[in-house]
Amino acid sequence: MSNEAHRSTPQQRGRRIARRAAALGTVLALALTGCASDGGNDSAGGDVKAVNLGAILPLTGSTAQNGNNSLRGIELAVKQINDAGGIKSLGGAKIELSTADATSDPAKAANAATQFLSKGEAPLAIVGAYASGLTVTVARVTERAKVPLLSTSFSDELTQQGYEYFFQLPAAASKMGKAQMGYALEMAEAADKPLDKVAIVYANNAYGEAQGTSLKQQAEESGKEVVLFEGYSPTITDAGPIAAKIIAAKADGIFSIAYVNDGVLLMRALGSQGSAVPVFGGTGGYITPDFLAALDEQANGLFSVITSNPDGYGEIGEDYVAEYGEFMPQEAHDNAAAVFIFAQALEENPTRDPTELATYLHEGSFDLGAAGQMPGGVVNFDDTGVNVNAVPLMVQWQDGGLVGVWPKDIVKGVPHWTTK
Amino acid sequence: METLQLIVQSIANGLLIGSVYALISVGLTLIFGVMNIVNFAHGEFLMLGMFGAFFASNVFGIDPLIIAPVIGLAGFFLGAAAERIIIEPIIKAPQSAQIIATVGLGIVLANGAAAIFGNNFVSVSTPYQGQNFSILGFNFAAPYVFAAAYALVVAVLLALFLNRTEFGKAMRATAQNRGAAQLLGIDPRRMYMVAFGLGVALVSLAGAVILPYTLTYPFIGQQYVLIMFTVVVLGGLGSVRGAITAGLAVGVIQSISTLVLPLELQNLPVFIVFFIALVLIPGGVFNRVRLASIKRS
Amino acid sequence: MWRRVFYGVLLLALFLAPTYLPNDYAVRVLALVCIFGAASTGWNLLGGYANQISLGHTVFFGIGAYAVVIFQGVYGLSPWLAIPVGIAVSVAVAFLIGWPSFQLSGHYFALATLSLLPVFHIIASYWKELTGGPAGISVPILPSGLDTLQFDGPVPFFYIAAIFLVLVMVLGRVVRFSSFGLQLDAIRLNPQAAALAGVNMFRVKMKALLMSAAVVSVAGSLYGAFLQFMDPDTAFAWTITLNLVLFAIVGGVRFWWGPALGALVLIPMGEYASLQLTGNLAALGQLAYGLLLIALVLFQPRGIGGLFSIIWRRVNRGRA
Repeated sequence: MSNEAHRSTPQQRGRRIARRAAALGTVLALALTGCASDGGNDSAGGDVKAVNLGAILPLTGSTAQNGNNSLRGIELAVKQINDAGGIKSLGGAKIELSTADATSDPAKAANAATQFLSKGEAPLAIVGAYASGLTVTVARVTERAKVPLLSTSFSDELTQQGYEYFFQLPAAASKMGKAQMGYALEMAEAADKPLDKVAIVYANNAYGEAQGTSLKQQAEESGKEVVLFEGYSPTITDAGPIAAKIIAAKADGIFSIAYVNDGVLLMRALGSQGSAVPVFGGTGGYITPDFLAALDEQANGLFSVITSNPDGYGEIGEDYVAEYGEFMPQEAHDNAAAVFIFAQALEENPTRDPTELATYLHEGSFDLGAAGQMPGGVVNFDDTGVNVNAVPLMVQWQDGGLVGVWPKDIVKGVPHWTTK
Repeated sequence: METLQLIVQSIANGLLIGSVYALISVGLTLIFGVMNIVNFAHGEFLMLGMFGAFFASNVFGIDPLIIAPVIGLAGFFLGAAAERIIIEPIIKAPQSAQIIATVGLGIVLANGAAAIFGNNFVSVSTPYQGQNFSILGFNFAAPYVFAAAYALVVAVLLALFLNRTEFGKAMRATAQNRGAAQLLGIDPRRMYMVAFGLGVALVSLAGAVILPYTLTYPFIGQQYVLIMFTVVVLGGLGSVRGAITAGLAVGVIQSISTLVLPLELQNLPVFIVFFIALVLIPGGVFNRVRLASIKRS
Repeated sequence: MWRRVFYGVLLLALFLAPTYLPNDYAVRVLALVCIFGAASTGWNLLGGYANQISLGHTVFFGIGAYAVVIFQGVYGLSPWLAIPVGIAVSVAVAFLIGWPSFQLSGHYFALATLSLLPVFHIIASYWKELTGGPAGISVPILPSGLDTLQFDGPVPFFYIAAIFLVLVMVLGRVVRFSSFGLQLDAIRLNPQAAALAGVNMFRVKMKALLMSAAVVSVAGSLYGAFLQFMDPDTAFAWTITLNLVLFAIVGGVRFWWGPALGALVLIPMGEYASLQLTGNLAALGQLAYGLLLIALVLFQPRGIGGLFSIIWRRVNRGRA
């Protein structure tokens, strides 16, 4: 046993040699790492150099369903733009998409972003990272690197930091929450249904918290009683206790903010405990094909607020169904819109400089492809990166499909009030 | 009185979920009792049981509750194999090595599952997920009731095994006093293999049985760690009876706490209980005479 | 004398790294090696030297990280002020958890420390006023400088991390060859005999625990300053625990340079693996870690350091 406080010299020397070898070996390993990461930076071949677009999305983890849906939308948009001839004002340059997995860990997402931006040729812009928690850390990296980040994250915080390279397509969480509650109350009044006591439950993450707080505010401003206001862990595995608490609170309406997994668990638990109270979701999981697949019949009747109207997805919506076999979810569409905005911006203001691109993104009006189907028919970013035309809508699951039901003047459908 | 009804309902729910906690933890305590090893990979075996049931359900359309015994059996063989390959060689090694070996095993299982299935959350759809039983005005969700029923049956079978069969008695003997058992002709190595296999069988069966009301993903094992270890420490490391009682107790504590505390703090009382148990009752409620394990530190 | 030269060479290699490393990314990785190498060395003071396996040291890491992010992000104070506060809180928590647990056997200690992580995760998620809740806290982008610990590139930060690593390794070495180190050894080898020989088990273990908690806390603070963001998932991640333990075991727990060596070998490998393996395969990297742990425990419990001494002994035998 080597316990002595002082060793004889030969052994010390031996260790020294060993350590030297180790130091050398690992320096080599690091050098190799550097080589490997530098190794892939030639252009897409062909005559014109491609434009690089990066996508950082949660492809694994608790929001993987939404992340993958988003990626599909992006890929479809890239394909359509490239098939139509690429960016003509840049000589027909094709968009080359590279992806990174943000996982569900904000620190890893930032790491993925840093890796993205430091190896090989940096992208001209990045689309991502779907989840607010992830986008917050990614945005810091992109802002520092001066690369535009086009995002479908709702986080209010992101447009309040004075970032010049951040662009938020949908309405912010505070607006979404306001609409989720406001529209629900309006619909209830129009249908003469009681909605005086509300229960608000939200997943305990950046998105849930922000939107949940806004829900509460709106409820209180409208003079309604908030009988329950609780957050729960987003990786919850048992929604029994939450459902029990909600039912015990005896609300007229349940307002939930959840991703797919916790949303499904919650709905099942509410169902198995016999709840028939209307539920209003806050996007996230509530409007995805995965949600429908898991709940089937039980999904019908659920309301949710949404960032863009599925009734109006038109051609690209049909193309999505043709390509992927299920309806185009909100995150797929909105991320596709981001790609179209990128393409249109480059088309109208050809450049290979991210800063110039960022400046133009603030100035232009974008309505190409999916961007033209965002609320208002056009996307305009103000100085802080907010899309000034973003307006939430309310949808409802009816017969296994999402139908826009409120506000009346923008949508085609009508709310069904079920007494399940 | 409405609050009374709420409390009773809460206690009832707690007992239901507690019986599941007991089922999950009893294997862990059994392994420790017989082998003096804490299986830090126990949560990952739970996860494997859940995934096994998920596949049976998705690919063959068999309900998890029906396939559960098969999953348990598969778990037994898996556990026995793991014991032979990884645990056996370190039975005599220092505690730190044992801890690290099972921690490593847990990592391998969780990441192996992630590499194969992806780190995605999955759940099953079963017809009884939306149903409930109404007794005396109280509501009990069907998946929980079935899980608890299973736990009860398994507990009875386990008790019969340990108390009425030769093998079971031999195992208890090994747990109480290895040396003496060996002198009596009991092969400790065989006991270890069966004990570990049985422990894994119990927890993987539990995984299949709870899948209907929950979901799973490769790293879910970590979520159950606090509960599992609280139950075994509270009940006394090594005491099967203790684990069952403690499981029920923890379930009730957790359930009642949701009445007064915010949901996010649901597990805080559990931890407090754990800590108290750790400090005040090193041997657990049922095992005052576990000084041997303290002396062995 | 030769020993000093060797250390000198190593130090040069370390501090000149930014000149020969190919890009900023590699410097970032090396900075992480320094931070986690130091943290693991801290863990090892208790885990390797005294054989008390703590599975909850991440808590101190997280506390240190949060301290910096809260001080800078919420109150606009200097991160340097946060570091001692982080240490103080970590040490307090360490004392509170060590005091009852050290009276129990190794298994119970591991279990007790294991439970720390979920609890602190719950606290961090719930105590929104302090920690920003699940959304976490971001430190706003501040002018670069030593006072804010924010820089335009990773190089200045790397130097801070490297200095920290050297200091911690010196501590590790000093402890190893001191009488305190002997006491830890005694506890590791034969607790009963140590107690009989008059070693105050409780006091010695507690000293090691508090020392290691402090070191890990500072490492966490540096990490927090590095990321400029913290949330419960990042601060109290199980993977950090794994890394602390793994680096020490791979490098060799009996050596004061063991954990640092483990970090130096594994972190670049891990980064390389995550670059090459994407999607599902990303888990293979972590899987390899698990297999490595098992393999080491079964076949080479003394880690790479142990391999070196075996090799050295063979070479020596040839010479003599």
